[in-house]
Amino acid sequence: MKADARDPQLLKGVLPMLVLALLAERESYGYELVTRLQADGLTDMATGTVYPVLARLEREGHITSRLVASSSGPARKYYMPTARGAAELTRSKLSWTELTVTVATTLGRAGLGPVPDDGPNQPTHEETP
Amino acid sequence: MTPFASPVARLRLTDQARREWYITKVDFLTQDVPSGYRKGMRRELRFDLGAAAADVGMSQAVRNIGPAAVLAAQLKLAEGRKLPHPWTGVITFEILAFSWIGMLMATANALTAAAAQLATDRTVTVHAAWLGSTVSVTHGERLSGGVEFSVVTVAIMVIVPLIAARAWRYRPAWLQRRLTTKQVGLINDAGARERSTGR
Repeated sequence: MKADARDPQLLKGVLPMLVLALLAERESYGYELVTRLQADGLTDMATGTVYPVLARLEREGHITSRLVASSSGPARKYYMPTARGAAELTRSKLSWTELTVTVATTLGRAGLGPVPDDGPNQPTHEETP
Repeated sequence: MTPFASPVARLRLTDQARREWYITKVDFLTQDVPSGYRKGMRRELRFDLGAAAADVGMSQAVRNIGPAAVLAAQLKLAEGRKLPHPWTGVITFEILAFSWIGMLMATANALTAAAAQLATDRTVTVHAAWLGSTVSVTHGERLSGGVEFSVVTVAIMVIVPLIAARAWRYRPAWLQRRLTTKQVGLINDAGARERSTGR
């Protein structure tokens, strides 16, 4: 089953991590990032969503940018992660993994999804010999 | 290395106008943020809208980016400066305006009283000058008065607020970096505390 409309708040929380992940793969400019995110499944994402995220990541020193002059039009701005951004990506990926395990455990217990095999809060059943 | 470059279509005049209108709206709505930041954003939007137009056409590219007001609000939030609230400006202006009116009335009263004392059987005019402008009251058969504004006064009244409006929001880059680092540090510390007590 696919959700008809994704909750924007859900995307808002993970978008910086996704942007950092894509930039760690290869440097990109704003519109290219959007097309890459859309190609990965975020088809309903507005193009404008990515600019504030890029601005914040750059302000916090997680990404840096360079201008590439173009003979056919305005210069394009390419973004790439910094060492601090790479560390932030590792940290947020770990947080995300922990969160998904917790969410899956809770939903699984409520009968709304599969319970992960190694969930931290999974109820254990001790067998007595 | 430039790994991927979307072709930028040669834009028609109407498409250029559509793009510039959108950028102008965003620019106007982000007046609060520093001009360097806005300049960079204009340049980025100009290129990206051109690249998007090559894929989907300018109308759709502008639609896809979302309303200018929403983008501007998010950019202001992302820029992260703690700016004075507009109401602070309104209240400050009201206090100054009422003080100014009160001062004018007090000056006029004082001049009227002075002129009345001096004018026993003759016509007397008294003046008070401030910032190049002159307030005068004439006491004779009839009481009359007036204010002469000089160019200096008008310049001060117009130019000073314009400079002050910029200056009072100005925060040096080094201070901004220091505050941001401190803020991020505090958030990280709070997150770490939360994580350690949660386990």
